[in-house]
Amino acid sequence: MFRELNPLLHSELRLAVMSILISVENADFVYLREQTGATAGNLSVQIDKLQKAGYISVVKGFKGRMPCTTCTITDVGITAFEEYVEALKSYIGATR
Amino acid sequence: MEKQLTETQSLELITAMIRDSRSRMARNSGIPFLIWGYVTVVVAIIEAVATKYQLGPTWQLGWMAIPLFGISGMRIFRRKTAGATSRHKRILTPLWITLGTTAFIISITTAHYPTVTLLLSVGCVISGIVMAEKSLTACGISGIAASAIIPLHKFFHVTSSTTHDEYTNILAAYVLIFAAIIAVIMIIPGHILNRKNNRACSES
Repeated sequence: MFRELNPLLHSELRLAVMSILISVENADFVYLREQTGATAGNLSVQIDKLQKAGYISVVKGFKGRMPCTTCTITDVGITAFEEYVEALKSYIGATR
Repeated sequence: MEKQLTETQSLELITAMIRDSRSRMARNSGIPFLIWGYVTVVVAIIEAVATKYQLGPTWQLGWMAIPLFGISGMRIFRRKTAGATSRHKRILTPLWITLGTTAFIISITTAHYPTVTLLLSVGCVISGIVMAEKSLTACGISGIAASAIIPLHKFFHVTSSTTHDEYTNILAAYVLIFAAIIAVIMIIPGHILNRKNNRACSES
């Protein structure tokens, strides 16, 4: 039976952000923007959605005089990501 | 409207993002070893010359250049590569701060080069295991073995009949051996790491 795909993660940019954050300790906004190729506005909106869902934590600080936003995946986010990947596998496995 | 992906596209995106992120993190991963390695070797060579020509105890202060230039170099490196923190850093940063500080304290209190090289070699072995880099582990193991050179030489060749001038030359040689070990455990793997990871980044 197919598992339902998490709609929050089943979106290109949010999935890209979560994929990056699961492979690093943390990443700042500029890094995420460069890796995903997203615009600053769109990325900001998606990060906000992931933060509201509790999948990532966001810390706003400064590096010298420049503002710096650092994102870290949470335990809830890791679980949701793993469940999403398992659900994907169930879809792909079933179509083979 | 947000772009919806197929299941296959989602898995491909996950794979690509993780691969690219890991690749970017690995880029220039040898630089910290090169910074500390070259700074230490250059200072050690200068100190060896100062020791051989008996330029005086004030020259021993030159060893302070290692933490001065090393820390400055690392600050510049971190500023240029800021963006994301790898999971390795959580283990390796405190490890090297501890080892580096201990090595520094041993250096200024006892000047016991073999203990310093042993400590730093162990650090390289652990770093190699954490980073899954065989070259770093192998060079670290070589450093552990090479750390025995100075004590063994001293045991067999330095006796009560060794003259002051002979001992001065031997001490200068010990400093050069120290520099050579640092080159083996830090400079060589640093270059190997950079070449390997930067080549992988340019291919992907």
